[in-house]
Amino acid sequence: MGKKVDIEIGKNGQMKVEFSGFIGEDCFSEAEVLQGMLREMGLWAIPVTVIPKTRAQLDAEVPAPAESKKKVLLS
Amino acid sequence: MSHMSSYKTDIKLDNALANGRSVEEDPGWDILSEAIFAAAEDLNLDISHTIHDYYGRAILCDWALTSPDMPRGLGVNVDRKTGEVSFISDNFGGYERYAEEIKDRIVQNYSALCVTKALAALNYSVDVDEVKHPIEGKKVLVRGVL
Repeated sequence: MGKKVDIEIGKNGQMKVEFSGFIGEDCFSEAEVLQGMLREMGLWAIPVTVIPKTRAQLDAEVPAPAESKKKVLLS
Repeated sequence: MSHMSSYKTDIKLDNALANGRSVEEDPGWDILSEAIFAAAEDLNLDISHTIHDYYGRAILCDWALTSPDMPRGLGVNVDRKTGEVSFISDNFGGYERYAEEIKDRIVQNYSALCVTKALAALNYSVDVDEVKHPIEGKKVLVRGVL
């Protein structure tokens, strides 16, 4: 699965951000890079909550493996 | 791992100032202008540089937004020394709610523009959508895919 960032911007600029498809701590580094770029543009994004995804949420991001098929010889 | 987070936001155009340049040269200046013009288009507002107070006295601003519903107008100013962005209006007579709505829309547009530009600069393929929430008003949804 590719990396994905979903951002919902409410009135007055409050943001809810969801990082998907990142491995290990990569999502936290990406969040910091993004925050830094916003800061350079004059937008101070101050974290209010940070919630790591649960195992179930992570599993849901990855599509279930396709059912394995066995070759059968037809004589 | 992946995560979800929420942020509150504030606008302050102090990057150019920190490098000894004028605030008009800040990357945020043009973004703020774009956010204000987009809000004006959305809410049918006129743009000038003058608002008025209750007594009819003119006040010069960097941007001024007026409409028949808010004839005195809402002004947006950027402090030339600190880069702080302020919104000014004389709300006497019950204009607070409308002034707040305009301000919220400008900040929302500004945030959306910054996020879109930042994700694009990080090589994400970016999609922007808008939804109208019955209680929370307009929401902007930005999706970046790498």
